Amino acid sequence: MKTRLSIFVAATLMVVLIVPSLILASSKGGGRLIIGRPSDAISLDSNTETTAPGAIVYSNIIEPLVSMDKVGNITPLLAHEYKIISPDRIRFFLRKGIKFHDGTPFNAKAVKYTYDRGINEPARWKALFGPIKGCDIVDDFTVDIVTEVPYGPTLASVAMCYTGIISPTAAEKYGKDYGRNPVGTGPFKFKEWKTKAHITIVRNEDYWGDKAYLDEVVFKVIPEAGARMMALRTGDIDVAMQPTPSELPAFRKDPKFAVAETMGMRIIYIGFHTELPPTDNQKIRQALSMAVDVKGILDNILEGSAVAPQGYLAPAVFGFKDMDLQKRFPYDSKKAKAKLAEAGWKDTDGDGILDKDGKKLSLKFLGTKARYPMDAEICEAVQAMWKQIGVDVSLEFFEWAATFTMLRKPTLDYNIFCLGWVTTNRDADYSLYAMFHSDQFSPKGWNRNRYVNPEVDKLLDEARSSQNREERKARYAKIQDILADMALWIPIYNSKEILVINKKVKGLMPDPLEYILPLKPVWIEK
Amino acid sequence: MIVYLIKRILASVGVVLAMAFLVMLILDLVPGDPVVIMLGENATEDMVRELRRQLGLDQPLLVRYVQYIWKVVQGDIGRSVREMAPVSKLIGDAFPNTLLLTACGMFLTLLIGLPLGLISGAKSGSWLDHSSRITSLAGLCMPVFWIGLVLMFIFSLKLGWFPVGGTGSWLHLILPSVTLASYSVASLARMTRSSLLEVMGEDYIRTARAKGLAYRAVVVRHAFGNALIPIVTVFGMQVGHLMGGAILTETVFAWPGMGRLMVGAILDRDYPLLQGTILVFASCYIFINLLVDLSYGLIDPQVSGK
Repeated sequence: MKTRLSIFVAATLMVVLIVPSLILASSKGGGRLIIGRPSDAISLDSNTETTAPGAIVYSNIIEPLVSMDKVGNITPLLAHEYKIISPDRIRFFLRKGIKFHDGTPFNAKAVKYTYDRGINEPARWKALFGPIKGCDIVDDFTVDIVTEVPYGPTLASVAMCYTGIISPTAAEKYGKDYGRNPVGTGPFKFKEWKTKAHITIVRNEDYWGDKAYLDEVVFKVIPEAGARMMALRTGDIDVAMQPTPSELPAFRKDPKFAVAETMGMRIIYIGFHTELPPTDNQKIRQALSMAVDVKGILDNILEGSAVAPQGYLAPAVFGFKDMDLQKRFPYDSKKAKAKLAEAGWKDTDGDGILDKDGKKLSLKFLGTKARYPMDAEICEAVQAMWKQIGVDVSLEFFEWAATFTMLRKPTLDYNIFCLGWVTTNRDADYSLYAMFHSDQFSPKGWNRNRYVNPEVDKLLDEARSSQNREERKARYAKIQDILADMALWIPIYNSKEILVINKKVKGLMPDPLEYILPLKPVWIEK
Repeated sequence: MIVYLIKRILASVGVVLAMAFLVMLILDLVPGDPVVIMLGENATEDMVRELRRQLGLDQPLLVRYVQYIWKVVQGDIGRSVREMAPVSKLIGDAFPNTLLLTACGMFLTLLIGLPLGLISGAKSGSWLDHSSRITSLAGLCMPVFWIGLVLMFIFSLKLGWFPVGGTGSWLHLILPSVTLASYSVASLARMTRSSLLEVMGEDYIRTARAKGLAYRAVVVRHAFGNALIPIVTVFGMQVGHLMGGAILTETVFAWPGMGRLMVGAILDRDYPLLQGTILVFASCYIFINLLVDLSYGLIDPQVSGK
């Protein structure tokens, strides 16, 4: 009897509690989402500004011809179909009947206008698109995207959020101030921008596809991390971007909040100058790699806000291969020391520093500070770890603008440097070509290691000029095997994209690419 | 008096001109190329050269200086290279916010700092004096951003009285103003106290007391007026300090003002914007100093008589 009663009570409770919440959950419409983030956008002009604070906003306003899903497949967007005509020419068939937010019709002319604008301005967009030549109009709703040379990553580049098509009417009307009045075809429209305070976008009621649920999204700037987390607790904001790592455990326990995380695209690494002795020696680089406790850094310095890297590329990148670095160069300071001894470096004078032919094993390290999460702390930890095996490291820090300029110069007077790299178009070419092709020494490219290997050059060229995805993948795999053995980098961490979200917000997930945050599927539970 | 005024104004213009040159020189000397930073990781050399030419950065320093001053005289303070908007618009948006915050900070400084110092000075040695001295010492020692976070923790998170940050209503203004004023209140209180104590030791105070005036009347009528000059000087300096302090306060409270604009401009090597913000800050500082100098004439007839 008792059990029957309790079953009845439980069943009634379930009906009373769950049914209304199901009904409520099904009404997804409406609401205002407030996102707190550390910095304001610089501009909302996709052709000139490509950093995350701007791109996260305008990627909800403008749309490219195609997009790339989370596993790297190309899916249709403003173009319903594409066809590879030749390795340097891809044809896109555009959707008809779409209008920009200002009423301008979307067609081949608008696509050409956007591409011309991007190419003609000396801006970041062009630099991201490799050998882009331009856009040819075939008819009103068909365009060809053409590159100077056969270029495998073209589809990936067309799918970048920066390549979203903008309204030619708006761009002409606003001129230089277009970046403060962006107009696209996307699920959200630009509403207002108060510099360093907030940017507001609203739902596009005339969107051509499934409409967004939210009425309005506000990107609020709260620079101080502690204040941002407090604002989340008080309900001033619904979502906090770039949360403080040390506060994450408390938010994970709190039933009011959810911590949403995705493995990101950024790899933070320690790189070696391969022309400057003694890091020109592969054995020394390998020994130094074995002396760095990557796991210790992840656990103690990053406190779970990043993950162990699986190679020089993030797993979400097309062409990624697990480089097995933990197996190749396991953390073992004794073995590292032995390896240095093999190369002739021993502590003969008993001062704690290894030496060879009367010369001390001294390295110059150009550290990075306040650019990536915990960068300076990592550089210092690595310096200390190397010191333990008897390597003398002089670590120098400059402010980021100065460090960046030094890294762009043709010569670098440091054995070691620390950098972060995002494969922006999610194609291995973007990173591997710019960083390991012998033709890409700074300032032309980013071969900051000054690494020269004709075999790698050949593989990179072949993979770059092909449109065959399987062929390309195989070549990138081979390249990554060669690079791993050369020990050119010590990847320290793979970024995690983390959002702390008030649980009433549903459907929001960070994207592996830090430049986008899809808001169309998001709704607020009432 | 008019000659004095004209001289002071001319000198101020000279200071602004020298300051503009100094800023340009320093920017030229610090490492970090604005164009390389703007164009990011993948820029080609041609793009860097082209943008440098467009921005006029390929010109020698003196030429750029003369061009800049000439434009400023015509009312054009340039276009931010990073924010892609006219500097005047960015400053126009941010300056009223900073001015509001600074004004509230000044008001609080006067409202709290001055009475605190007066009481402390008039009743030196009493428990009132000791507690006000300890409070002001604490105010001087605690860093602004820390006070801000603590206030936010207590009054926003725990009590829910004020919003965490941002602008919008007068409620938004309270915590940042208190934070901003904390240092100035303390330093004005201390200055007022010591200045008053010094005057209180003078012969004419003893005379006033001897002729039977009440202590309160002596302090208010005789001592305070004479103690005012150093107080006004310190207050003038505090206004500059308040503007500088706004940089940290604005960051903690997400207040969209000049301080944050300037820090952003420094990090991005945004020369026109940085020049513009410094120009405004320096002009304000010089203007306040001018006011302070002129007020001496009102407070002390000996100054304008010279």
